[in-house]
Amino acid sequence: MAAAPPVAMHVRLSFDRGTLRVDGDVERVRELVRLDERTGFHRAPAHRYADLVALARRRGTTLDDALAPAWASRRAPSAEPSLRPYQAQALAAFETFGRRGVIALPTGSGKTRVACAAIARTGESTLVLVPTRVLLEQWVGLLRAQLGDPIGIVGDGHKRLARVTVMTYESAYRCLDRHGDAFGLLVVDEAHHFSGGLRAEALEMCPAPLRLGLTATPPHPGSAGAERLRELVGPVVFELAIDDLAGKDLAELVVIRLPVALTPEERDAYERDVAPFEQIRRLVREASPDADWLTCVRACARLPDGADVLARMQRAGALAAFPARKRVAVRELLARHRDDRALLFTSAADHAYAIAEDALIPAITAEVSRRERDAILTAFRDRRVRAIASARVLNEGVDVPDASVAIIVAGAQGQREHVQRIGRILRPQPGKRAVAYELVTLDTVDEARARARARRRPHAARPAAPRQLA
Amino acid sequence: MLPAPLLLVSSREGHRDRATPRYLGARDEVWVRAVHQELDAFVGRPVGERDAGLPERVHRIARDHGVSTRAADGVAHVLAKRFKTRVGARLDPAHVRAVVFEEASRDAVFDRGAALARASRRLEAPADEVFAALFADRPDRKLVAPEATSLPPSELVDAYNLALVQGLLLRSEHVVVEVREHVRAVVRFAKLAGLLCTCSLGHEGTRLDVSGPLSILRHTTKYGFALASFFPAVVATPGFRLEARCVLRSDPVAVHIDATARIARTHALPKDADSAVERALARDVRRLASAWTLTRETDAITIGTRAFFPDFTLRQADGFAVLVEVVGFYTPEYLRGKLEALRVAAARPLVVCIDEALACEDGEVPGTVLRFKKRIDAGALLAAAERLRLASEPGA
Repeated sequence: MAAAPPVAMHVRLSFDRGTLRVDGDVERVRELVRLDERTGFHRAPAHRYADLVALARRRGTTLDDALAPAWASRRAPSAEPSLRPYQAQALAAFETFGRRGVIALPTGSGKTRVACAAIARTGESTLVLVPTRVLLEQWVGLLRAQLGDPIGIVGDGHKRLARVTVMTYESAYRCLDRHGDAFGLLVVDEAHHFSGGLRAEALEMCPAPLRLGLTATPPHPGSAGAERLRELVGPVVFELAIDDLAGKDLAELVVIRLPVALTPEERDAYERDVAPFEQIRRLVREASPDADWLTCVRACARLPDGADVLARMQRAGALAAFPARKRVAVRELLARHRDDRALLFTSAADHAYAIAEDALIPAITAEVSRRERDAILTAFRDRRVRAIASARVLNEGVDVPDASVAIIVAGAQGQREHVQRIGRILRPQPGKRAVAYELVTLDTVDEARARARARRRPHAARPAAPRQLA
Repeated sequence: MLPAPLLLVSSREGHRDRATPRYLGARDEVWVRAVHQELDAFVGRPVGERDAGLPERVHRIARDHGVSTRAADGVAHVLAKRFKTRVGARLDPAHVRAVVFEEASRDAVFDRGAALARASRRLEAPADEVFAALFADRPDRKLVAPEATSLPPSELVDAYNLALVQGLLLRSEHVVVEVREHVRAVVRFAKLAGLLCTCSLGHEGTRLDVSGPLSILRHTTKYGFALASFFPAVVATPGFRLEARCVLRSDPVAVHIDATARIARTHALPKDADSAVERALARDVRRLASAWTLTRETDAITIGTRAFFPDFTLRQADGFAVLVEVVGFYTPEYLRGKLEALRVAAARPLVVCIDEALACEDGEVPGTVLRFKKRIDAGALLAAAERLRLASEPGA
């Protein structure tokens, strides 16, 4: 009688093109793997590496893990930077949650410093993901100064991997299926971007068991976005709002709302353009009273002349975002704060350029080259220019020199954008008092957007005490 | 590749989950020419002016010819990419900005006129010209430059069809393609694009299932770009058929594409893989004008998860096929792998043409063996194929 074939009692893990290849006794981790008939072996999502290892260990399965030894061989703890008390608390919370979670701190409060401390303490080979090329440069400079080692860069024309590497989201989406296994710690800057599924495969293709997310605007607890971020990075482990730090670790802030009205001609044009959409919205709401804005837009898009109706609504929105009286208000505010450094935020690049041409100040938009952007920021820092207009590029990430005035001409992306913009002027300076002006066009979609932003004031509504989840 | 709002497909009533691209054809060439002329009329004008004025003109053409405005927008989209742009200012806008903004910042109270006058003096140009150059490099203020070469309407139609198909594939998760020739080259293209490719016998050639590693774990269009980039290799093969699982407006749709469509061919499949011996054989078989036709790399033999591509297939009108493998230069490892593949392939009619210089005995090689020296005897090959045909017939 032939001898029974030996039964494999171990599971082999290796990285294969953005997934985990699982061989051996796969039945012991059946819940997390799937047979790939194209290749003849089992796969698991790379970001479930930690879960897979935990499951195998719980079931007493021997692991033949090709990834962990590679990470261990590159581990090199280094000196941690000094931290403010709340930054040290944030790092402690990250440690408490098994080095996996999101730290939510306001803009200007030193999230990157906390991340540097985490990289130094764990000593892991680290991948830092950033949404923009501007942030790529900033992180590389910061890490080089902090760690001293050569820093890898992938994105903006560079492709050099190192023990600590900074990569744009876009590059990560394209290349982590090849390089995702090189890192034991994943740091995701502006992590809220991954709560909406945008390029989420980038995080799914990386098996790093340690994950740190950084954001000023975490998704609402209990929302689908919060759940998605928890799956990809981890839970929110530490959170502070602007008011928790304003006046102490951030500059004191005053927010002033300035309402403006449309001129009679603008009002006529606005009402003409809004009417067809409003009619459709009424009909949709009669049929389903709970229908939200997006449902109405989708219903409109399906109609034969829906594209025209939506185009007119868009034109009305643009008018409300930057009518004549906002132009006048901008001029007056710039004159009033001639001696301060001011940042102006619009909802569209065209409006930023209109202000730039009117007030002869630079505009920083996606159209501006890196070289010119750096020159503008240097001139701003040296007080050779007094104000900068921007639509979205300065919303987050860009290390803007100390400014004390924000003029929010219009917003298009809700509360998250609003808190990012206000954060631009909160970098602490002795005796500094930051002022944010919010221009709102009455009885228009612009006012509705402002109301939506105000429903959850990011700088006032959060509890004053740090929220540490237990 | 066309953007999502311009993708046009047709579905039969009650079969919204299946679709074919709405191609343009010869009868569309008249209005495509008219759209081309409209774009041409904007040469020398600002891009923003073209972008604002063109849709209305293009939609009017579409209405006049009774065609879809989205198709007309798609043609305009494909055409617009052929026109480059240039900055219409003598002064360098970036330099102008640096000077103007610095001058505007000098005064304790903002004085626009004084700032522009100072900048004008520094730049040695009139203030009007300085102001006009300030943002002359914005994309919508650049001027439209003439086309480098003008394509005839027929080629524009083909280019539109390719952009339409690639736009659809950009939103695809998985592609099944049936290829009659050049299978190996198509598979190579797919693998170069980072795709996984499995081969099996199709109705009239080899069926390739093409997708990415993540595809078995989640629905993803991550490989859409790779699938769209790989498509030109498929178009270059005659008689292909392709079915793509796409996500259009959040709905899954199976899109069917085949070689009957007029689609621009932008790639030529590599021929350098052919040896002189293989090229001579193809030529000699054609000259003999027999009942057999010889095609390159039609079929794939799968061995586990690997694929092996015999060099040729000899086929008769009723579909009877004989695989032909030419074994020329080799290394011991190569020969071992080849023999293993040939043993699997031998389940089908197979002729193996072996260079006399090779030191393996006929007994080691499965299938019918035909030895050659420098040139394969095409007549002998056809005779061997005939014998295999007779042997396969009932009662043989």
